[in-house]
Amino acid sequence: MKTTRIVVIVVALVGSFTAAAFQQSRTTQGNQATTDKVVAAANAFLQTLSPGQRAAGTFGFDAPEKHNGWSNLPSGIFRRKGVRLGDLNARQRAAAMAVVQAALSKEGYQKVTDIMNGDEVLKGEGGGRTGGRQGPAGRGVQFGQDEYYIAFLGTPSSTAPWLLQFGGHHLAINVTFVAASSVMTPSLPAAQPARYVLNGQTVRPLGDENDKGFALINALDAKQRGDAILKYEVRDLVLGPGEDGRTIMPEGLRVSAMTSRQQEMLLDLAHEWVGILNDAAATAKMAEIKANLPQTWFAWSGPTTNGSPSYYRIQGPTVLIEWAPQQGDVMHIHTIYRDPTNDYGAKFIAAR
Amino acid sequence: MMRRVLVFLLLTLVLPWRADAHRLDELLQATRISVDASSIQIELALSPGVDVADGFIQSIDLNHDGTLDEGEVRDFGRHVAGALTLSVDRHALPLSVAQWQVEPIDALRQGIGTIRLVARAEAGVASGRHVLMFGNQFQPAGSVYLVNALTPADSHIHFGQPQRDAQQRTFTIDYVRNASWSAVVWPAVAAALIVIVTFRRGGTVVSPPSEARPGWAFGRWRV
Repeated sequence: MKTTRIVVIVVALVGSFTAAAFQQSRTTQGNQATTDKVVAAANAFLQTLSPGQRAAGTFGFDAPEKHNGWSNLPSGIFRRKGVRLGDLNARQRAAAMAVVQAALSKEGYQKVTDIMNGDEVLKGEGGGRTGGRQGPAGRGVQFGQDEYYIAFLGTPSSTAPWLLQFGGHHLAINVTFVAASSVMTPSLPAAQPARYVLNGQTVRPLGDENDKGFALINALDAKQRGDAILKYEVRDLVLGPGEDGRTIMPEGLRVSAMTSRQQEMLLDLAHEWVGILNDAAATAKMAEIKANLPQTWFAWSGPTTNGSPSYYRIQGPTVLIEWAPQQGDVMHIHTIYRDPTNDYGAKFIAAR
Repeated sequence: MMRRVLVFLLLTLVLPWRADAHRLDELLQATRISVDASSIQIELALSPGVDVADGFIQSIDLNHDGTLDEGEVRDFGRHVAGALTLSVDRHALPLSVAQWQVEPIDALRQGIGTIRLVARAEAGVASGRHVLMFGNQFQPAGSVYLVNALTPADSHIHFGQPQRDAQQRTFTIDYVRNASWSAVVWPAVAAALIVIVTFRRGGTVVSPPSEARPGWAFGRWRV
């Protein structure tokens, strides 16, 4: 009898440790080599800065800038914290971009540079009606590649949590590193103009997000489309900047009602955001989204003809993606990518 | 040809540039609705575009001193709350503004500022199914609307699928409030104690119906 009890206790203990280890592995997204590479790039960048620049570009991990330091708005009317690319020399600037490049995938980094190049085009076109007005920051509204900022919240570390914040007009990339794991939520990749010509090439920074969204809605049958298409207009992001920590009730079509082919299309669409981050973390994140597909929803508002200013949303237990053309303009797109359970690495930090 | 050039130049001056950073000539009214066991909270974020910001500010700055003081914002909040309607099971609930937050007036003038109002209604509803209806009639001309229910923090509250009009000015959602474990168990325990005490005082000890015995897991009844 006593032996049986001992066996039961040992089995229970072993089971508990195994479950804990399994849980730990499930909450790891990324790999240590990637984190180490980004930390090395971050430290190399910091070493190029003057003490004043370094102070301007570093904050505590839980500083308010984590939540209020990013926006879709341009410089001059939104005051970003961090180091401005336009204030750096060529060597410093290259080192800054090397940090971003190390944190992201090849495709993700290309998307970021396409968005920044688009803002340079916008600058060349005069920016817009708000250009030249005096904003709260005391300067006129500014566009272009110089107006992007980089900041670190927390000390770049291979073990402790820290956040890389990079952004400017129509771009906010927040990558939190917690040891081997990294996560890129919340982030805001947007575009204006959504199509431009650079060096003779037509560039669409978010072209695949547009085309794959329309392909998916048009791949649904009439019944599915009836569920997916909301009966009302959605004219903006619901959970854009400043909406951290909120979760809305999902609407539209349950992904469980899609065929396997349609589900693959949805995953491919989601990967346009998830895949901005380095490959190791993105692969793990995609597996998580796939596992949660039965609880995921797809919603659409607007016409289904490609080129229309339509809104869509993918929402699941660990992902929220919104696509929202602004004021009916398909050349001006805002998007948001969130994880209600893991924005700024909250889940990774809790699991430590 | 000269005439075409003049027309083009005129259009260029008159028509708005499309390359703008954000909403221009609309007032965005974004509403979040949250429900708990005792109240309903309406958070309304009002973000005027740059072209309508001055008029919006003037409608609040009633003494025209170029600032928005607390009294003006409070009065504005009451005015806005008066344009909102909320009901549960078709019983209208009065909304009172509990909080407000105003971003700097310069930000509002630039079309990047937001005024957030939080209004609450006491709504201690019984467990069961309910219908919540919300309407926003504040400044319908030139406004665009978003309205969403936030996922309840209370695990006993479950929303159904909402319905809206095409502009999102009205919003209806069913929700179920399940009785919590404590709300069911403690009254049951209290009732059981009352029964036991009552019967013991009367010198009678009862036995449960024999068919109920197999389901009882907490010991034996004394006969």
